[in-house]
Amino acid sequence: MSEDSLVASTLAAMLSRRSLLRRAALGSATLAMSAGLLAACGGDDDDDDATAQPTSAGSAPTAAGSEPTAAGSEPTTASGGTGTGDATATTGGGGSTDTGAVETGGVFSSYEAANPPSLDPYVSGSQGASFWASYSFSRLFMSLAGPDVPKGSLEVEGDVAEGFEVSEDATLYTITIRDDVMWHPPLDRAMTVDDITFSWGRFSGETSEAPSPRHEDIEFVTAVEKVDESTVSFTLEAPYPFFLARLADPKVFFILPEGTDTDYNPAEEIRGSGPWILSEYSPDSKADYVRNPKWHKGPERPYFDGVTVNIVPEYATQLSQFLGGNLDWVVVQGGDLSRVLKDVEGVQIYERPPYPLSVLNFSPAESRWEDVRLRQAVSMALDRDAMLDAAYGLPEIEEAGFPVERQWHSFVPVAFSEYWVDPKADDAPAEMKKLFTYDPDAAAALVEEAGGGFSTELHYAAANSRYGEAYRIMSELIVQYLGQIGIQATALEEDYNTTFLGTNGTSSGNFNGLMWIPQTRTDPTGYFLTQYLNPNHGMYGRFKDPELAERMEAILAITDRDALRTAIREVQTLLSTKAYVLPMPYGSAPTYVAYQPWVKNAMEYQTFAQGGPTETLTHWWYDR
Amino acid sequence: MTTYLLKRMALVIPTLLGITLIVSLSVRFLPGNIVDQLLGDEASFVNPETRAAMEARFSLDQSPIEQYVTWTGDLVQGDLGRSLISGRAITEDLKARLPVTMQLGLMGLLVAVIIAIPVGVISAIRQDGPIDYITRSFAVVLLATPNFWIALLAITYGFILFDWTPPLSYSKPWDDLGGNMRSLWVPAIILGTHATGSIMRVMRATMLETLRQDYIRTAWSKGLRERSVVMRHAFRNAFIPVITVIGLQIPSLVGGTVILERIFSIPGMGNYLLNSIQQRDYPVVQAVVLVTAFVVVVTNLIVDVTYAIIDPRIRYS
Repeated sequence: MSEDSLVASTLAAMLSRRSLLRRAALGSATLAMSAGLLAACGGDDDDDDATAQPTSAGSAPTAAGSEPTAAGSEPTTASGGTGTGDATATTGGGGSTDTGAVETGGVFSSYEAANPPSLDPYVSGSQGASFWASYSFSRLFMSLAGPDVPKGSLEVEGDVAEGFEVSEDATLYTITIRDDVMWHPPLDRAMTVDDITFSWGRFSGETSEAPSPRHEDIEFVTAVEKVDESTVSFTLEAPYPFFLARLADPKVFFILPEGTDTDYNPAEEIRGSGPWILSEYSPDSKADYVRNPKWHKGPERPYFDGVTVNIVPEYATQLSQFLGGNLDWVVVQGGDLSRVLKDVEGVQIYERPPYPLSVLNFSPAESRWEDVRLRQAVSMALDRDAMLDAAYGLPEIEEAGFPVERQWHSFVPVAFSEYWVDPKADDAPAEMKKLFTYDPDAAAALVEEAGGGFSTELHYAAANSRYGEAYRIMSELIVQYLGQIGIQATALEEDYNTTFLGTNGTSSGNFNGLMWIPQTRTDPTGYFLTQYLNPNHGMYGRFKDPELAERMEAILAITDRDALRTAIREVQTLLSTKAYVLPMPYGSAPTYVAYQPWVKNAMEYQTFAQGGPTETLTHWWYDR
Repeated sequence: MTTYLLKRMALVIPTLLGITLIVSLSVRFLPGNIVDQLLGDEASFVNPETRAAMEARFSLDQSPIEQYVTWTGDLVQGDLGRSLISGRAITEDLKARLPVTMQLGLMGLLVAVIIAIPVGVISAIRQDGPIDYITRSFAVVLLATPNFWIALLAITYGFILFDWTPPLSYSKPWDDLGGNMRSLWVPAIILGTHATGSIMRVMRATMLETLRQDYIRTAWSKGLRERSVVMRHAFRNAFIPVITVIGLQIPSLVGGTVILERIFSIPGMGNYLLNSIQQRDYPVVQAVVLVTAFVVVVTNLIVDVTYAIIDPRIRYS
């Protein structure tokens, strides 16, 4: 394609996609009820789009111009109507800011701290594995990225999915797939619904030796069935408000071709359908990818000819390689920001929103923690702003010229801004304000009321975990703050691999005193499921609180987006009162990511999830 | 000599099996297993059925002894097994990684010998002089300084002072010799300088001892030049015990590569071992330990044989 034609097609894409994107962004496809809203993003605009994707015959799931509908809309048919979503609304070559200046070519120089655990995306549930898998494998949906998408958004767009319908009770999702999704060579055939049902069998353990660790995240799916040649259905045990976000999460369900395990070994060979084709992999050295010219979101994207992912375990090496211009991006620790700004002229700094959540837990074996006054006292003893300053070097970041906002996670991470309640806000509930505000005198008084000071332990997993120095610093500060209110805690640093994990590990409740650990969930309700509706868990299973359980169950059944937002925000008042777990400020400072000045579009296309190689990298380009 | 060699070689197999048995059991007695690693933060939330199925998939439902016996049975047939986590054949991984570590180790050893021997000799013949004090202090500093610290300094200040960064990825010597050397020269120097301290001190000590021998005094009294006395008469005899020390450096050089490979992103055995221990990838741990032990045992054997070749007075029975 000539430069002129590329410019023309990209501009055309920009014009049509921008309006689509805006409308799609309004209607979060993460919610069952948003299906109807997305129906308003009908495919009419695609007619003007020079890079429009072919649509599957007869699928046309949306009715152009149909009005958004509320939850509880009538079940729909594949021919469209209400309660459907057009997952192609934001697909196609070029995003809304992929302007005519886009230049193609070049090999993006990236890095990872460790090898992929396996080339088989079902083997590990780790975040690193998710990132690696996102280069070459497709999902049904993926996170929406782009300049109009708020940070921490839970909105999704179709990847393989072209459209979907949701039943009235929100337990049946019928998903139509695109007909232009091609498997990488040597397969070179179109993806079918059979591939998806096959993948599900292997993923869930129905047709394999064991389920993927990732299956836990959507264990509430009871059946995945072929409806017809282009449609597949997912049946849920009960409604789950963020089901599509779960499907879009790269920690969950990637699609593999039929014949995996029998025709080839997925541990040694990648046969995906995503934007990048693995050309060479040298463990502990690098992985080379080339662009997939037949990617279903192409043909222009990805703009780079390829990506080299270098394995660089050490932070000092990562930073030096970035400063030397050998890496195109790097995650920068706060203290090094000023150096990066000074040494790299024109460097671009992206503030990744605060994520994930970490909570302080109380020993289920010790009855003293059943006294809510003690739990509240522990929270009120913590100066969260000072902890953030010490752990993340925020004053130094401010000195480097970056405005810093000191935010605290509530019972939902700051990143999920729609559902998060700012404990510092003037209009925050009084119960929450009281729990989160640093007030050592009041905390000491509560301890006295509850029987006076005592000695205890604080367990944390800093050794061999990826939680870093900030986690260790905060652990030490917690001990000091507790000492001020009469609770003498001994800090016990544990090894993440050997004593923290596992069914009998510390993280399962096998500890005395206090323990804290970061948790990563795809959506706000994921934290609620983990912490309050987990009766078999050694630690969280002890919360036998009918009132709370009832509220949580009710939230999971909500399908109206506004109602859901309200319910999640409101329940945090009750959680503040109960204080079963205490949100910690760890992870509530932004992560700073530096990009070389020649990487374009990186500031506009970001997601908080690990699907970047598909969602964002395909929008970036070089201007060197 | 032949009988001695046969006896030594016969001992190699039980030695290696003993080592792998100890390592195999000890790594399995560590808390946590590969399923915990694969589940990560989810490890405490997964339901027991899923965990049991995953453990069965990796044969973790068998006892450690059963697992070891199975592994040994495969080993006899030349099969080192597959990595639990990556699913790749361990033999293939070792084929790619062993030469990398051996090259780094040999380069490190070369650096150590090139520095340590002349410095040790000079230090001995200038005993208690300024050079001797400086080199002895230098040796102590090298012995006391951890590899990883020097490596991190090299990475950080290498860029600040000289705009130097190591290559982002490793190149095989037959693909790109220049790139290969650029990857390895700095870690080889760091590895080598650490070993320099021990070799230098032993070289100095044996040289001093030799220089006090009667035959050296005779050589001086014959009016021979210093160069001739030192190099022809003293050095050769003084060097014999040093060979043993150099041989003994090989295991520590192999150990030293672990952290250096990680810092400099070199795809060798050290990185492989470290990852496999962290991930509880038992077959890989066993295989790497087996190969490393084999290298060490064989190296020791070679050192002993070399000893006899250099000093004809030594005879094994």
